[in-house]
Amino acid sequence: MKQTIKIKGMHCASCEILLKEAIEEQGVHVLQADYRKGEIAVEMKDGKQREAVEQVIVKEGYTIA
Amino acid sequence: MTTTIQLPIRNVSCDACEKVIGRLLRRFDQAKIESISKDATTLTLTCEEKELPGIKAKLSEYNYLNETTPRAHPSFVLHRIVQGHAAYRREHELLTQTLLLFATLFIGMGFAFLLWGQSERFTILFPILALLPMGIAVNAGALQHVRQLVHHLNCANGMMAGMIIGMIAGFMSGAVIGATNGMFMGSIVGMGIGMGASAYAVRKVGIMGILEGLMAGLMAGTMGAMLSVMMLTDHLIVFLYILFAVCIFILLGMSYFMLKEVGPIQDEGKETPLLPLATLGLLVLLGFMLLALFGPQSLIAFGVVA
Repeated sequence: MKQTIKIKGMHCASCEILLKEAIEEQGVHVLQADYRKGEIAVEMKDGKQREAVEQVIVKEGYTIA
Repeated sequence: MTTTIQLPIRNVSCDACEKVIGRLLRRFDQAKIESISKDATTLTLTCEEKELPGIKAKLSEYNYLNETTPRAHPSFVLHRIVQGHAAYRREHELLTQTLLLFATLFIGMGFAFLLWGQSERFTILFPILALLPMGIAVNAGALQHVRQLVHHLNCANGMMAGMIIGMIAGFMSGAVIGATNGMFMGSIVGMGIGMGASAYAVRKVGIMGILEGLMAGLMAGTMGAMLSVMMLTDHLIVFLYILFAVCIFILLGMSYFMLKEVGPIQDEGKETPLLPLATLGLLVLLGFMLLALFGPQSLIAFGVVA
């Protein structure tokens, strides 16, 4: 299922690359990352994956909006 | 052999950028970031010498390697733009758009030939009017380039860009209309186009940029028309072709100067789609043609001088 996560603290293309690579390391496919909108769209199998993705985002220094 | 080197970088604005560069370097066994300068323009790293070309290619792919430093020769940058290298993707698109605009205007010129080709005045003025498609296309391309970088230009750079746009647009249009319609019309058109184009291009820079552009448009618009009238009996048409070639060279130089100062166009730039741009270009071409063919006549248009 496709889910969009709102993120605070993204302000350049590097943030997109960083988050995309970090999330994909968890085996979650990133559909789109957009620093202007401050959101990332991912394809997840279940709710557990969402938790893991959010943890990765926080670990990289961003905040879930 | 392990070596420590410094590389010019750009687009490094936050911790995430440093992390991404760190991740990129992790793909190379011995590569390690030593430091990034406070102004984020120089990356010091340690790596194996044989890894260096791969590291540069990877940094370039992610648009971190600053290839527009004084070490980058203009021909190298131009080659990359023509190739459509990732770092110059937007410049490549702009160049393509300018060439398509030129092709459109060239076709428009063909229609004008079909429409007015039988007229004696058109035949006399054709060598001058043939310069218009190229002149309009390169000025539109340069204007677009400035518009897309204007948010990053400081006051001095903005003044320089405004002056060049005003000078070149004013000189080219003033010289053409001066040759076809005389000094009065040439000066009015040259001033109007030079001042208008520069003010439009650098208005976001501030009042100093605008004033510099207005002054340049005023001077070049009148000077272009004056030179044409003064040279009516002395190889004017040859001179116009030389003048246009020099003006195009200067506009290319301006684009290179902006690349060196603020780097390639980033995604936030504004771009005009080809269709409205081509429509506007055709309208400008039509305006020039109508004025040249049906406006006041210069001595060339009268057929008094060749």
